[in-house]
Amino acid sequence: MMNDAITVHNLTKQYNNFALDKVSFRIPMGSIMGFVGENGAGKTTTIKAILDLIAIDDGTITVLGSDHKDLSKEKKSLIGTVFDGNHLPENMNPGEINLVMKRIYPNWNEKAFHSYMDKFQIPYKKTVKEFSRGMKMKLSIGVALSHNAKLLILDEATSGLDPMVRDEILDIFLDFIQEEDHTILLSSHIISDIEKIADYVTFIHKGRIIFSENKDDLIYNHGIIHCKNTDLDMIDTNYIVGVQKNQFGSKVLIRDKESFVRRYRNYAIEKASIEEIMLFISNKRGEH
Amino acid sequence: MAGLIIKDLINLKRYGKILGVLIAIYAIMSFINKDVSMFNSFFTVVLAMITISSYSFDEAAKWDSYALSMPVDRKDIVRGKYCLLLIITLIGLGISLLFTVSINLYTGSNSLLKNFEFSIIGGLGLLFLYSIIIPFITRFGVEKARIIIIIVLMLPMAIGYLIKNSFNNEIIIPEIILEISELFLQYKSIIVSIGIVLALSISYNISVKIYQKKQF
Repeated sequence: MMNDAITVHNLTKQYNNFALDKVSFRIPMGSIMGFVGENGAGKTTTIKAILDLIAIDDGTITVLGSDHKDLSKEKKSLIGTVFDGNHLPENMNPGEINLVMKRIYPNWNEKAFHSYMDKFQIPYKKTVKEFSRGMKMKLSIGVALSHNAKLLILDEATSGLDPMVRDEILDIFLDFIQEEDHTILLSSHIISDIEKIADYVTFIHKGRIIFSENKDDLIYNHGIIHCKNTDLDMIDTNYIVGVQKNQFGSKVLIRDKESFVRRYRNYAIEKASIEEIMLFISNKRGEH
Repeated sequence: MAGLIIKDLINLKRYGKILGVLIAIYAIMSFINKDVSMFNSFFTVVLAMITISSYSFDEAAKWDSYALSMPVDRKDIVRGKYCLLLIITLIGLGISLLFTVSINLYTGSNSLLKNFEFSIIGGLGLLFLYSIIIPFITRFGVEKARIIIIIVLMLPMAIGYLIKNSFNNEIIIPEIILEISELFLQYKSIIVSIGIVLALSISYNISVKIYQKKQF
């Protein structure tokens, strides 16, 4: 679809002990997609496939309207990437990184880079290896934001950062998305970050997409009820996403909340957070 | 691609000070001995190390996967490394020429061309060895290709040793080989130049093919 910044369809990649199994999702232009899942669920592998860093066994991937293998340099220059950990040369300082990027990106904005470095309080003369993890991350984000990118692909860009810095960075992403043709794919296992800024949430679990939905719809359609363990049998199983049982009763995540309320009026429904929805689903899958 | 080469040169800049000190030590020794051959051969070895280091730095930083997300294609990355090799070799030859000229002026000898010829042979030899090594590094990475690198770098020494031993044992060399050798010596500049260009272009094409299939 032309209005999607990224479309992944039936992406399959087999490794010896892990596989991406028919991964499909789309990211509408102008939105933030939170790509969530536990460590090792397949987030980074999917991102590598999108960036054509690994060969895929099956499926199609479209990025900014082109097949991911045929992205022109012009289109690639519109993508800003931040990888988990630092991928910038350790012996270089931000001033030198500016010199290099100036010659790599035709649309490099030196002024923007300097202003991000000042904003992030990153020393110009220090080399990358002397930086803390937070500073390295901020430097990478500064690079990703300094070439007029329209699409940011961020792999665990906020993990390992203290809450203050994370908040600062999330605000920068929210600023970035103000332009209607700007899009962000943010992979993270920190659900609160996703909950704060994402428009859509894609949940990957053991190499499979469990859901890829609008965040507000997801929260709106799900709810949590508390009931006696014996009451469980009386609830239509189609509504039950997952159950947490203990000796005092059960905590149940239900789907299709509105319909459930009409049918079972005697239960008080609590709002379910993205984190709870994910935990219920992954725990349920873990049982099988 | 210019950005990639600049990145490598900045990355290798940290060797500048150490190199400066080593050059000074070897230069003093050469001036004392009034002989540049030690300086020139040392320089060849140092250059060999430097280019390999640029691969090590990239691997340590996982630079390649990052670079490929930029407006850079896989060919650019391979081409950048071959250009770096040529640039470093030229810089090495430049320093070597400067040094040879100054020592010749100091000693008053007029063996300038002969001495500089040594440096050029060293530089060309290095390019030839690298044309064998780079595809292996591209395929396996510096760490895994280390043994191959050592073998390839040792090869000239081993061949030299074998030839020397053969002469000591007074093995009769067939006439045809002597004739070929004479022909070679007559046209050595052309043959070596064509040989190096050929080796580098074959090597480059192999490396590109390997790198196109590489997964990160």
